[in-house]
Amino acid sequence: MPHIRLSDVSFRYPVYSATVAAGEGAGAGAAITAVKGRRYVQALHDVSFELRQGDRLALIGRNGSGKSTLLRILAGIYDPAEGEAEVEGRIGALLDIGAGMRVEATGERNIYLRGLIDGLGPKAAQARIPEIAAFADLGDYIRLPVRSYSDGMIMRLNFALATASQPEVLLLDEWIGAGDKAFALKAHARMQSLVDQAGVMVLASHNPDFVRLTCNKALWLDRGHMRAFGPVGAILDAYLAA
Amino acid sequence: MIRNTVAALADLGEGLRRWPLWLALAGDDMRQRYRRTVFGLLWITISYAAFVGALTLVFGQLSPEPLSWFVVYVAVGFLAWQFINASVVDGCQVFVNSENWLTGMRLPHSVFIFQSVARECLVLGYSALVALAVMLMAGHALTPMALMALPALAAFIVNAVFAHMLFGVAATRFRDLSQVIQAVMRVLFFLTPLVWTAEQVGGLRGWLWWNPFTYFVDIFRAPIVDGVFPAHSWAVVAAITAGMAVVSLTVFTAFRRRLTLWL
Repeated sequence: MPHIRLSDVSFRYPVYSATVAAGEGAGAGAAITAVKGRRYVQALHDVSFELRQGDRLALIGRNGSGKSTLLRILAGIYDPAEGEAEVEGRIGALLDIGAGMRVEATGERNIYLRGLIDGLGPKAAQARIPEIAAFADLGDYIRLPVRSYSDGMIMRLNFALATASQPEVLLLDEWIGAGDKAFALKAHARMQSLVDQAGVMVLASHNPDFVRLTCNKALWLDRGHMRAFGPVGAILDAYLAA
Repeated sequence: MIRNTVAALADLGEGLRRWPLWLALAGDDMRQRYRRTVFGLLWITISYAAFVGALTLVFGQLSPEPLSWFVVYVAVGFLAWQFINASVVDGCQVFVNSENWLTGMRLPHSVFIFQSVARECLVLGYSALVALAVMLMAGHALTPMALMALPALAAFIVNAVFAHMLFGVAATRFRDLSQVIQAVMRVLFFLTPLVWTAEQVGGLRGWLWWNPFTYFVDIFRAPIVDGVFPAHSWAVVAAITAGMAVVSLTVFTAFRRRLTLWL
């Protein structure tokens, strides 16, 4: 059964630039710490929560509060420095706008490659092309290099790719910004159906209306600390009032 | 430590199993490099032929050997060198070049290693056409011993994977390393018997055998060019391969998890 359990997860990035001093900055972003003379960005502090099937979690918080880092830990791209991150279920992740795409290759070729990435054989990867192309709905552009796409078009394709293999754990980062209204509705419907099939979803977003519509829980991150975790309505109200 | 070693080996195993993926990516890399050119991948063959021709013209004058033997010596030896050089130089860039894949999705890191090595094998294949043509034109007679170049090729590929694991990780963390290695390889091209023979260098001959690439080139070239099995060179290559296995696996095991943070 898909589920997510994080216990006391902390994470820091090493900083290799010589021009930053340790300290709590005034602007956006996490604190820069120094440990044994090395500098780090302390991106997450003791984050713990649990999600069960059917849960749809919104990560909210200002820029640089640790939302994307948390998604990358859930996706298994980063290992937490401290604490445990347990993620059960097949993961579908949409983290960077063009992640896992070759911009020089055509849309069709990228669909094929993603099939191979998902562990399909060449034949099965080929067979998936029409269905995914239809969902992305890019017309003849699907046969052009991704280099010629707009951000919104890349997003459509990448969303179609990330959700193609019926993921049980869907991780989305700020993706909603680039799609147009029609696609947003379509994407919303697909996300809903994935979650309805006993999945778990985590998405980072700055769009309160979308969060309220899509999610049932929210985690408010503030400079890598958990500020609040609970039902989406209450948390969002508190965040917007702050 | 044991857990990390198991995870690193699992990474390699899982990566190998994804062969349709890395073969496709390697093919795309090649097509992209020669995109919209008239000759496409044949450019590899053409530029190889031009370079071997130029080397033969210049260094053939200095060699006491007959030109028909020397041109084969250069064409086959440089084939080995080109692969070795690429496996070290590309090895440094393997993770840096795949940044948006490594930070965007979870895949075995070794997929990118195998992609890079597969690409180097493709280049080798297209260049080998030139070596074959040269042998035909020079009337070079191959003996059955030439088949011993195949295990040499296997040794190259295995060492290329190790080189990617070692230099890929090290050069991602220390970006200067890539520049250092490029400079060293450029010098080693002249210090390895490729455009001259070991007999030619007189007093330097004793030093020559400190260069590990001398042995690697020898195990591939000697069976084809001279029809002999270089047992001594094979022993050295086997020892280097064992050493590379230990060092590269240790480095890959220790730093694989941290790699994405260095990108």
